Amino acid sequence: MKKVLIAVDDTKDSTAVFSVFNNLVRPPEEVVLLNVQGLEGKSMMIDMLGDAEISTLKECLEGSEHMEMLERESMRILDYYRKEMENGGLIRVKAMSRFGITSDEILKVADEEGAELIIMGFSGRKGLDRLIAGRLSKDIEKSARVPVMLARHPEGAGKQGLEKAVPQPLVLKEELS
Amino acid sequence: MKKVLIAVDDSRTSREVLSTCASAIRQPEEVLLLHVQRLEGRSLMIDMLGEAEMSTLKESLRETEHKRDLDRKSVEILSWYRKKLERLIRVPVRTLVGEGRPAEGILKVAHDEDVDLIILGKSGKKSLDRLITGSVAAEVEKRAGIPVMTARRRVVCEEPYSWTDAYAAVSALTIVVLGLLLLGFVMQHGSLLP
Repeated sequence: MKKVLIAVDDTKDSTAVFSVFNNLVRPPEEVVLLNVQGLEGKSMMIDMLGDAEISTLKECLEGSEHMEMLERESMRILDYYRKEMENGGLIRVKAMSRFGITSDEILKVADEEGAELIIMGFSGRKGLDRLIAGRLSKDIEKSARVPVMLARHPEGAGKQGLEKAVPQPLVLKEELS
Repeated sequence: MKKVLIAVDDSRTSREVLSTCASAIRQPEEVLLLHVQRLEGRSLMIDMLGEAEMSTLKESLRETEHKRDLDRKSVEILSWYRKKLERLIRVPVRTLVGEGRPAEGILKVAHDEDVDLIILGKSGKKSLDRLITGSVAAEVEKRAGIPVMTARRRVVCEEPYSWTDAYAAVSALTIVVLGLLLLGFVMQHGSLLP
Protein backbone atom coordinates (compact mmCIF):
# COMPACT_ATOMS: atom_id res chain seq x y z
CA MET A 1 0.00 0.00 0.00
CA LYS A 2 1.25 3.43 -0.79
CA LYS A 3 -0.67 5.77 1.49
CA VAL A 4 -2.76 5.40 4.58
CA LEU A 5 -4.73 8.17 6.26
CA ILE A 6 -4.93 8.04 10.02
CA ALA A 7 -7.50 10.38 11.52
CA VAL A 8 -6.86 11.08 15.17
CA ASP A 9 -8.85 12.98 17.69
CA ASP A 10 -6.94 12.84 20.92
CA THR A 11 -3.91 11.21 22.40
CA LYS A 12 -6.20 9.07 24.54
CA ASP A 13 -6.97 6.82 21.58
CA SER A 14 -3.34 6.21 20.79
CA THR A 15 -3.11 2.65 22.08
CA ALA A 16 -5.85 1.56 19.73
CA VAL A 17 -4.33 3.37 16.76
CA PHE A 18 -0.84 2.01 17.30
CA SER A 19 -2.12 -1.47 17.96
CA VAL A 20 -4.11 -1.47 14.75
CA PHE A 21 -1.34 0.07 12.77
CA ASN A 22 1.39 -2.21 14.03
CA ASN A 23 -0.51 -5.47 14.07
CA LEU A 24 -3.33 -5.41 11.60
CA VAL A 25 -2.52 -3.11 8.75
CA ARG A 26 0.02 -3.79 6.08
CA PRO A 27 2.79 -1.18 6.43
CA PRO A 28 2.33 1.52 3.81
CA GLU A 29 5.00 3.70 2.29
CA GLU A 30 3.50 6.86 3.69
CA VAL A 31 1.16 7.80 6.47
CA VAL A 32 -0.92 10.95 6.49
CA LEU A 33 -1.75 11.89 10.05
CA LEU A 34 -4.79 14.08 10.22
CA ASN A 35 -6.29 15.93 13.13
CA VAL A 36 -9.48 17.85 12.58
CA GLN A 37 -10.36 20.52 15.05
CA GLY A 38 -14.02 21.31 15.17
CA LEU A 39 -14.37 25.03 15.35
CA GLU A 40 -17.33 24.81 17.61
CA GLY A 41 -15.95 22.44 20.23
CA LYS A 42 -17.99 19.35 20.87
CA SER A 43 -21.34 20.85 20.09
CA MET A 44 -23.71 19.45 17.52
CA MET A 45 -24.16 22.93 16.12
CA ILE A 46 -21.72 22.41 13.33
CA ASP A 47 -24.03 20.02 11.52
CA MET A 48 -26.43 22.84 10.94
CA LEU A 49 -23.87 25.07 9.34
CA GLY A 50 -23.57 25.13 5.60
CA ASP A 51 -20.36 25.66 3.66
CA ALA A 52 -20.84 29.42 3.53
CA GLU A 53 -21.31 29.69 7.26
CA ILE A 54 -18.30 27.50 7.96
CA SER A 55 -16.01 29.61 5.83
CA THR A 56 -17.37 32.76 7.44
CA LEU A 57 -16.70 31.22 10.82
CA LYS A 58 -13.18 30.33 9.78
CA GLU A 59 -12.56 33.86 8.55
CA CYS A 60 -13.83 35.39 11.78
CA LEU A 61 -11.62 33.12 13.82
CA GLU A 62 -8.51 33.75 11.77
CA GLY A 63 -5.70 35.09 13.92
CA SER A 64 -7.85 34.94 17.02
CA GLU A 65 -6.76 33.50 20.31
CA HIS A 66 -9.26 30.69 20.00
CA MET A 67 -7.80 29.69 16.66
CA GLU A 68 -4.26 29.78 18.02
CA MET A 69 -5.34 27.54 20.83
CA LEU A 70 -6.89 25.09 18.40
CA GLU A 71 -3.76 25.11 16.26
CA ARG A 72 -1.58 24.47 19.27
CA GLU A 73 -3.78 21.62 20.40
CA SER A 74 -3.77 20.10 16.96
CA MET A 75 0.01 20.28 16.75
CA ARG A 76 0.35 18.70 20.15
CA ILE A 77 -1.78 15.74 19.13
CA LEU A 78 -0.07 15.32 15.79
CA ASP A 79 3.42 15.53 17.28
CA TYR A 80 2.55 12.88 19.79
CA TYR A 81 1.46 10.44 17.14
CA ARG A 82 4.17 11.36 14.71
CA LYS A 83 6.92 10.78 17.21
CA GLU A 84 5.63 7.33 18.04
CA MET A 85 5.24 6.33 14.43
CA GLU A 86 8.56 7.60 13.26
CA ASN A 87 10.25 5.75 16.09
CA GLY A 88 8.71 2.55 14.89
CA GLY A 89 10.17 2.35 11.44
CA LEU A 90 10.98 3.60 8.06
CA ILE A 91 7.66 5.14 7.19
CA ARG A 92 7.19 8.65 5.96
CA VAL A 93 4.74 10.54 8.12
CA LYS A 94 2.97 13.67 6.97
CA ALA A 95 1.00 15.55 9.60
CA MET A 96 -1.94 17.78 8.76
CA SER A 97 -4.32 19.96 10.70
CA ARG A 98 -7.73 20.83 9.42
CA PHE A 99 -10.57 22.85 10.85
CA GLY A 100 -14.27 22.43 10.26
CA ILE A 101 -16.67 19.51 10.02
CA THR A 102 -14.72 16.41 10.99
CA SER A 103 -16.26 13.90 8.62
CA ASP A 104 -16.07 16.27 5.64
CA GLU A 105 -12.45 17.12 6.28
CA ILE A 106 -11.44 13.50 6.69
CA LEU A 107 -13.08 12.50 3.42
CA LYS A 108 -11.65 15.52 1.64
CA VAL A 109 -8.12 14.81 2.78
CA ALA A 110 -8.49 11.12 1.92
CA ASP A 111 -9.44 12.12 -1.62
CA GLU A 112 -6.81 14.80 -1.99
CA GLU A 113 -4.02 12.62 -0.74
CA GLY A 114 -5.21 9.52 -2.56
CA ALA A 115 -5.21 7.43 0.59
CA GLU A 116 -5.92 3.75 0.08
CA LEU A 117 -7.16 3.18 3.59
CA ILE A 118 -8.63 5.35 6.32
CA ILE A 119 -7.92 4.45 9.92
CA MET A 120 -10.20 6.16 12.39
CA GLY A 121 -8.74 6.68 15.81
CA PHE A 122 -11.86 7.83 17.59
CA SER A 123 -12.68 5.50 20.40
CA GLY A 124 -15.53 7.39 22.06
CA ARG A 125 -16.23 4.88 24.75
CA LYS A 126 -18.60 6.77 26.94
CA GLY A 127 -21.44 9.23 26.80
CA LEU A 128 -21.29 12.18 24.48
CA ASP A 129 -17.96 11.09 23.02
CA ARG A 130 -19.48 7.78 22.06
CA LEU A 131 -22.46 9.43 20.43
CA ILE A 132 -20.26 11.71 18.38
CA ALA A 133 -17.76 9.03 17.46
CA GLY A 134 -20.55 6.69 16.44
CA ARG A 135 -22.09 9.23 14.10
CA LEU A 136 -18.73 10.14 12.72
CA SER A 137 -17.74 6.62 11.84
CA LYS A 138 -21.13 6.01 10.27
CA ASP A 139 -20.79 9.12 8.10
CA ILE A 140 -17.34 8.13 6.99
CA GLU A 141 -18.25 4.54 6.36
CA LYS A 142 -21.16 5.65 4.22
CA SER A 143 -19.26 8.03 1.96
CA ALA A 144 -15.71 6.76 1.90
CA ARG A 145 -14.39 5.41 -1.36
CA VAL A 146 -11.74 3.32 0.30
CA PRO A 147 -11.78 0.78 3.14
CA VAL A 148 -12.26 2.27 6.58
CA MET A 149 -10.77 0.71 9.68
CA LEU A 150 -12.07 1.61 13.10
CA ALA A 151 -9.29 1.41 15.59
CA ARG A 152 -10.33 -0.15 18.83
CA HIS A 153 -8.30 -1.58 21.60
CA PRO A 154 -9.67 -4.92 22.68
CA GLU A 155 -9.54 -4.42 26.43
CA GLY A 156 -11.67 -3.23 29.30
CA ALA A 157 -14.83 -1.36 28.43
CA GLY A 158 -14.77 -2.47 24.83
CA LYS A 159 -15.09 -6.20 25.37
CA GLN A 160 -17.42 -5.84 28.33
CA GLY A 161 -19.77 -3.89 26.17
CA LEU A 162 -19.69 -6.69 23.66
CA GLU A 163 -20.64 -9.34 26.16
CA LYS A 164 -23.60 -7.39 27.38
CA ALA A 165 -24.81 -6.81 23.88
CA VAL A 166 -25.12 -10.44 22.81
CA PRO A 167 -27.16 -12.26 25.42
CA GLN A 168 -29.01 -14.76 23.25
CA PRO A 169 -27.53 -17.95 21.91
CA LEU A 170 -27.11 -18.33 18.21
CA VAL A 171 -27.01 -21.55 16.31
CA LEU A 172 -23.66 -22.04 14.68
CA LYS A 173 -22.47 -24.91 12.67
CA GLU A 174 -19.28 -25.66 10.84
CA GLU A 175 -19.46 -25.86 7.11
CA LEU A 176 -22.02 -28.25 5.75
CA SER A 177 -20.47 -30.57 3.27
CA MET B 1 -2.28 -10.92 13.67
CA LYS B 2 -3.84 -14.12 14.75
CA LYS B 3 -7.46 -14.35 13.68
CA VAL B 4 -9.57 -12.41 11.25
CA LEU B 5 -13.33 -12.79 10.95
CA ILE B 6 -14.73 -12.03 7.53
CA ALA B 7 -18.49 -11.80 7.32
CA VAL B 8 -19.98 -12.24 3.86
CA ASP B 9 -23.38 -12.41 2.29
CA ASP B 10 -24.72 -12.71 -1.23
CA SER B 11 -24.43 -9.02 -2.05
CA ARG B 12 -22.03 -7.54 -4.53
CA THR B 13 -20.48 -5.19 -2.02
CA SER B 14 -19.43 -8.18 0.03
CA ARG B 15 -16.88 -9.08 -2.64
CA GLU B 16 -14.90 -6.03 -1.77
CA VAL B 17 -13.52 -7.80 1.27
CA LEU B 18 -11.32 -9.73 -1.12
CA SER B 19 -9.38 -6.77 -2.45
CA THR B 20 -9.06 -5.42 1.07
CA CYS B 21 -7.59 -8.69 2.27
CA ALA B 22 -5.15 -8.71 -0.57
CA SER B 23 -3.83 -5.22 -0.09
CA ALA B 24 -4.63 -3.56 3.19
CA ILE B 25 -4.16 -6.05 5.99
CA ARG B 26 -1.28 -8.08 7.29
CA GLN B 27 -1.19 -11.80 6.87
CA PRO B 28 -3.30 -13.39 9.61
CA GLU B 29 -2.66 -16.85 10.99
CA GLU B 30 -6.22 -17.93 10.51
CA VAL B 31 -9.28 -16.65 8.70
CA LEU B 32 -12.84 -17.32 9.76
CA LEU B 33 -15.41 -16.92 7.05
CA LEU B 34 -18.94 -16.42 8.29
CA HIS B 35 -22.24 -16.35 6.51
CA VAL B 36 -25.29 -15.53 8.57
CA GLN B 37 -28.45 -16.88 6.97
CA ARG B 38 -31.37 -14.56 6.93
CA LEU B 39 -34.14 -16.91 7.98
CA GLU B 40 -36.76 -14.33 7.20
CA GLY B 41 -35.39 -13.16 3.87
CA ARG B 42 -35.08 -9.43 3.64
CA SER B 43 -38.15 -8.53 5.66
CA LEU B 44 -38.16 -6.23 8.61
CA MET B 45 -39.90 -8.89 10.61
CA ILE B 46 -36.79 -10.17 12.25
CA ASP B 47 -36.33 -7.04 14.28
CA MET B 48 -39.67 -7.58 15.92
CA LEU B 49 -38.99 -11.14 16.93
CA GLY B 50 -38.14 -11.74 20.49
CA GLU B 51 -35.91 -14.47 21.77
CA ALA B 52 -38.68 -17.04 22.08
CA GLU B 53 -40.11 -16.34 18.64
CA MET B 54 -36.68 -16.55 17.10
CA SER B 55 -35.95 -19.97 18.51
CA THR B 56 -39.44 -21.13 17.51
CA LEU B 57 -38.73 -19.94 13.99
CA LYS B 58 -35.46 -21.80 13.91
CA GLU B 59 -37.10 -24.93 15.24
CA SER B 60 -39.93 -24.86 12.75
CA LEU B 61 -37.57 -24.30 9.85
CA ARG B 62 -35.41 -27.25 10.72
CA GLU B 63 -35.56 -30.02 8.13
CA THR B 64 -37.71 -27.92 5.80
CA GLU B 65 -37.03 -27.33 2.15
CA HIS B 66 -36.61 -23.61 2.80
CA LYS B 67 -33.85 -24.39 5.24
CA ARG B 68 -32.24 -26.77 2.81
CA ASP B 69 -32.23 -24.01 0.20
CA LEU B 70 -30.70 -21.61 2.67
CA ASP B 71 -28.04 -24.13 3.57
CA ARG B 72 -27.24 -24.78 -0.04
CA LYS B 73 -26.92 -21.07 -0.66
CA SER B 74 -24.62 -20.70 2.34
CA VAL B 75 -22.36 -23.43 1.08
CA GLU B 76 -22.24 -21.79 -2.34
CA ILE B 77 -21.35 -18.42 -0.94
CA LEU B 78 -18.81 -19.73 1.52
CA SER B 79 -17.11 -21.97 -1.03
CA TRP B 80 -16.82 -19.12 -3.49
CA TYR B 81 -15.19 -16.87 -0.95
CA ARG B 82 -13.03 -19.55 0.49
CA LYS B 83 -11.57 -20.45 -2.87
CA LYS B 84 -10.79 -16.85 -3.69
CA LEU B 85 -9.32 -16.14 -0.28
CA GLU B 86 -7.10 -19.16 -0.19
CA ARG B 87 -5.67 -18.16 -3.52
CA LEU B 88 -5.13 -14.59 -2.41
CA ILE B 89 -3.63 -15.00 0.99
CA ARG B 90 -2.64 -18.65 1.36
CA VAL B 91 -3.88 -19.01 4.90
CA PRO B 92 -6.23 -21.67 6.28
CA VAL B 93 -9.83 -20.53 5.98
CA ARG B 94 -12.46 -21.95 8.26
CA THR B 95 -16.08 -21.50 7.33
CA LEU B 96 -19.05 -20.98 9.62
CA VAL B 97 -22.75 -20.62 9.10
CA GLY B 98 -24.99 -18.68 11.43
CA GLU B 99 -28.71 -18.05 11.63
CA GLY B 100 -30.65 -15.04 12.73
CA ARG B 101 -29.72 -11.42 12.95
CA PRO B 102 -26.52 -10.77 11.01
CA ALA B 103 -24.99 -8.22 13.36
CA GLU B 104 -25.48 -10.37 16.40
CA GLY B 105 -24.21 -13.44 14.65
CA ILE B 106 -21.07 -11.65 13.64
CA LEU B 107 -20.49 -10.21 17.09
CA LYS B 108 -21.01 -13.54 18.77
CA VAL B 109 -18.51 -15.33 16.57
CA ALA B 110 -16.04 -12.51 17.03
CA HIS B 111 -16.39 -12.81 20.76
CA ASP B 112 -16.37 -16.60 21.00
CA GLU B 113 -13.45 -17.02 18.67
CA ASP B 114 -11.57 -14.09 20.15
CA VAL B 115 -10.75 -12.59 16.78
CA ASP B 116 -8.44 -9.64 16.29
CA LEU B 117 -10.28 -7.99 13.44
CA ILE B 118 -13.69 -8.08 11.79
CA ILE B 119 -13.96 -7.36 8.09
CA LEU B 120 -17.31 -6.64 6.49
CA GLY B 121 -18.45 -5.45 3.13
CA LYS B 122 -20.03 -2.03 3.24
CA SER B 123 -23.76 -1.91 3.64
CA GLY B 124 -25.77 -2.13 0.44
CA LYS B 125 -25.32 0.85 -1.80
CA LYS B 126 -28.90 1.34 -2.83
CA SER B 127 -30.74 3.38 -0.24
CA LEU B 128 -33.91 1.28 -0.22
CA ASP B 129 -31.96 -1.88 0.44
CA ARG B 130 -30.12 -0.13 3.22
CA LEU B 131 -33.32 1.09 4.78
CA ILE B 132 -34.87 -2.34 4.80
CA THR B 133 -31.96 -4.41 5.91
CA GLY B 134 -30.50 -1.79 8.17
CA SER B 135 -26.84 -1.29 8.43
CA VAL B 136 -25.16 -4.41 9.66
CA ALA B 137 -21.80 -2.73 9.36
CA ALA B 138 -22.85 0.22 11.49
CA GLU B 139 -24.24 -1.99 14.20
CA VAL B 140 -21.19 -4.23 14.31
CA GLU B 141 -18.93 -1.20 14.39
CA LYS B 142 -20.84 0.24 17.26
CA ARG B 143 -20.85 -2.85 19.42
CA ALA B 144 -17.64 -4.65 18.64
CA GLY B 145 -14.91 -3.96 21.12
CA ILE B 146 -12.30 -4.77 18.52
CA PRO B 147 -11.20 -3.15 15.27
CA VAL B 148 -13.74 -3.36 12.46
CA MET B 149 -12.94 -2.76 8.86
CA THR B 150 -15.52 -1.96 6.24
CA ALA B 151 -14.08 -3.01 2.96
CA ARG B 152 -14.49 -0.95 -0.09
CA ARG B 153 -12.80 -1.33 -3.40
CA ARG B 154 -11.11 1.92 -4.32
CA VAL B 155 -13.69 3.74 -6.38
CA VAL B 156 -12.18 6.29 -8.68
CA CYS B 157 -15.29 7.68 -10.25
CA GLU B 158 -18.73 7.18 -8.80
CA GLU B 159 -21.77 8.22 -10.75
CA PRO B 160 -24.55 9.69 -8.67
CA TYR B 161 -27.17 7.95 -10.83
CA SER B 162 -26.98 4.48 -12.29
CA TRP B 163 -28.65 3.08 -15.35
CA THR B 164 -31.31 1.43 -13.23
CA ASP B 165 -32.35 4.83 -11.95
CA ALA B 166 -32.52 6.14 -15.51
CA TYR B 167 -34.50 3.11 -16.57
CA ALA B 168 -36.96 3.59 -13.76
CA ALA B 169 -37.31 7.29 -14.52
CA VAL B 170 -37.98 6.69 -18.21
CA SER B 171 -40.52 3.97 -17.44
CA ALA B 172 -42.32 6.18 -14.98
CA LEU B 173 -42.38 9.05 -17.43
CA THR B 174 -43.70 6.82 -20.21
CA ILE B 175 -46.49 5.58 -18.00
CA VAL B 176 -47.44 9.10 -17.03
CA VAL B 177 -47.47 10.28 -20.64
CA LEU B 178 -49.51 7.30 -21.78
CA GLY B 179 -51.88 7.83 -18.91
CA LEU B 180 -52.41 11.44 -19.87
CA LEU B 181 -52.95 10.53 -23.49
CA LEU B 182 -55.47 7.92 -22.50
CA LEU B 183 -57.23 10.38 -20.27
CA GLY B 184 -57.32 12.90 -23.05
CA PHE B 185 -58.71 10.34 -25.40
CA VAL B 186 -61.38 9.27 -22.95
CA MET B 187 -62.42 12.81 -22.27
CA GLN B 188 -62.64 13.57 -25.94
CA HIS B 189 -64.69 10.47 -26.50
CA GLY B 190 -66.85 11.33 -23.55
CA SER B 191 -67.70 14.72 -25.04
CA LEU B 192 -68.94 13.02 -28.18
CA LEU B 193 -71.56 11.09 -26.28
CA PRO B 194 -74.95 12.70 -26.37
